[in-house]
Amino acid sequence: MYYGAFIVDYSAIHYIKERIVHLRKNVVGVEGSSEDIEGNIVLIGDEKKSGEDRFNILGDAQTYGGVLAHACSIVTLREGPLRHLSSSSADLADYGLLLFTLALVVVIHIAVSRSERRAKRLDRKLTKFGGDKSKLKLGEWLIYIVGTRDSDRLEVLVSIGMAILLTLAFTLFIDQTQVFWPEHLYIAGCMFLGAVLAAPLWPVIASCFKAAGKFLDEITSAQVQ
Amino acid sequence: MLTGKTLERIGKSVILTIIFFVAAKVLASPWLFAKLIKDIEYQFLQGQMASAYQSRKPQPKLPVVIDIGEFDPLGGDAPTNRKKLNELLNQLRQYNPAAIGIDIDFSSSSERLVDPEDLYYFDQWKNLKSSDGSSAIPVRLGVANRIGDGGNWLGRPEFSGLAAGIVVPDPVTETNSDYFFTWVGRRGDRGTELPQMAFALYRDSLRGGSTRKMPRLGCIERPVASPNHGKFQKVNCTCIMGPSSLTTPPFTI
Repeated sequence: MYYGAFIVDYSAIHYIKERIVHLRKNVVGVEGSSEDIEGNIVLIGDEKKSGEDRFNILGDAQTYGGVLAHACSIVTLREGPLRHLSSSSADLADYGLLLFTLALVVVIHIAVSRSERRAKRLDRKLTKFGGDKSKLKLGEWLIYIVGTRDSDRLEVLVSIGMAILLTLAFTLFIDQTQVFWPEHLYIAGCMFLGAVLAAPLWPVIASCFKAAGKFLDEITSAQVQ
Repeated sequence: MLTGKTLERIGKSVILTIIFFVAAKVLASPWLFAKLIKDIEYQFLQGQMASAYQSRKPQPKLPVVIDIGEFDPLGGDAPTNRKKLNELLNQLRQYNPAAIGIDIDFSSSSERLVDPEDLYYFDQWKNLKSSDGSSAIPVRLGVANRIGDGGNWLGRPEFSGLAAGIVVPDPVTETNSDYFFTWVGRRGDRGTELPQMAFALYRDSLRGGSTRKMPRLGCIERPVASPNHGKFQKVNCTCIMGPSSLTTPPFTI
């Protein structure tokens, strides 16, 4: 029966290995490490033992003595284990992200649609200034930028931006965020692919919907007859 | 008012977002490439954490590892030389370590001891004190299997407090560890806890008046080896709280 677990960070393994005190054949002598030992945890084991008491870290071909797994676990506990999302909280994060993306998509299209007419007016104003955008107020400038953009392209840019932000937050800055959420890569990957493939895929998806609609129409008309 | 064109665009974007989201969830589901992709992600994240580790300031204090591979000149299954181990522990006493863990299998039952002299040494190590006698030095001895189940991890109930689990099972095969996870502990049939070595040593080291606190450990889901091989399932675990776990048994269901 198990009582829980934590994620072991093996980052320190090479540093621990470099500092191992190797005792020569049946000679007991740890005087050289007295300063390190005082007030510290000491692990005694056979680091070079072959057989099943060895392990390897994913992506690292080297195998290590089991004693180093315990040493890394101690460093992890001292440093504070990473926060880990359980499957229910990961689902919550996934669906939260979906809702956020959907809301963002709707907001982008509405914002572009509403800004288009005002952008045209601002465009006329700009021609008076000889096209110098610095003459516009910040709010006007924003409306002009949004209103003159294609909302589909803006959506692609926002999706790619979100995918990059997500990857940065949970991968490159994992040491700062301290959250272990492996699923974020699926979501970020699909956001990125979705943004890139949306335009070429949409005609296929749309024709599938049309075909399904036509099929349903034919079924219902056949039933009526 | 929204134009028909805008509504069409919103509809298109919403449908595409949902399709790609469903694709992401299906891809992440345990019955597809989940293990393969998770492995890649773990590798990537571990690499990322390793590069971040180098720039950490101050550098974390590392435990001292003493390799006694040459203590056993006969090799093979011969037990490690207990006399030499005792000598080493007596030498370590002089430097007052916070805790000592021996990653060697001492699994015993009342009928079977790894070494006939084990009970004598267990008694010595149970009462190990710093050389000036002012403080006790906690010692943990490795237990790899459950032959002494029911509380007698080390042959007799009075030594069960010295025992610490040294097998770190792989989440899938439960035979070895090439993953990130390590278990906090497990219980014998009669409810005696067998904390995992690192967890036990860290907890022991805090008893010496350290200002550090036990971290709050959450529950992790693990794939169950059988009968639903490879399927992720929540294990029966508990969140281990802070300093209170030092005085009360931390393992509750």
